[in-house]
Amino acid sequence: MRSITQDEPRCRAILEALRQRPPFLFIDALDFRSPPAAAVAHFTFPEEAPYFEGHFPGDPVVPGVLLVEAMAQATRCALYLYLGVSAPGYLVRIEGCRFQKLVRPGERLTLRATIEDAEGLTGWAGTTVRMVGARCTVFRSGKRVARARVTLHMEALPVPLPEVSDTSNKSKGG
Amino acid sequence: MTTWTEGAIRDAICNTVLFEGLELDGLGVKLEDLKGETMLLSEEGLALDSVDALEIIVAVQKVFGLSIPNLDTAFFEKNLRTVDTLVDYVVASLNITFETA
Repeated sequence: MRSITQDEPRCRAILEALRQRPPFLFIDALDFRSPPAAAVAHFTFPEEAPYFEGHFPGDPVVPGVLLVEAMAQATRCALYLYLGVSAPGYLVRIEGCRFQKLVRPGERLTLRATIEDAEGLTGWAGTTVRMVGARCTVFRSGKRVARARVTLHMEALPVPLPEVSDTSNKSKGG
Repeated sequence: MTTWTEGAIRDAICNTVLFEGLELDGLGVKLEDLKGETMLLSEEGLALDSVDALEIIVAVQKVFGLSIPNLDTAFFEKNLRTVDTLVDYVVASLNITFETA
């Protein structure tokens, strides 16, 4: 599966649709052959990130809350890739969250977010988006290290983004 | 009180406890992949970890109304070795419940 990094225009466009920015952007590459209604993203928490000085001194561990945030960001990417929706949104619910392994800085992570339901959302026809639920999993070397179901509340905005339609179709067909 | 048959117990363990409870589809596991001899904790099987194992115990207690005391390594190694050993444990536990009820 080919990944592209945020240095490439296609990935950069999607990540710019997120409002998060470094040091609070937890995606640095995307796979564009993701399953339908899903995004597969990647990130490596940098060893020099300041929060590792305190979490924990001499024993750096990626905070679980940052893994949840990464899953939420992957959900935003899935929404954009599949439905062409880019609207301001906020994390409003986390369910069934499990942290199964310690994650260390410098470890390459794969984030998969699969949209399972979208209330008040019909996609491309200029309609609006409200609640989007996704099942998210974080993998390291193919092993699941965390998972959660996250729900985003998206502001109700017109959503047609024709330039993303081609991406969505490729994703579905991939 | 629900009257459980061994088949119903096996279905509940495979469907509710393992497949849905642990979201095994997220690991690329299909429901039909779960056989009696499927190993749960071994790397040769599903390679479930200790968090998964605790989730299994919580789900078993909830689904079958059991109370499982004295969890230790020996318990997990004996009863969570395969799907079959877990079914056997639940069957035996429910029989004891019926006999003493």
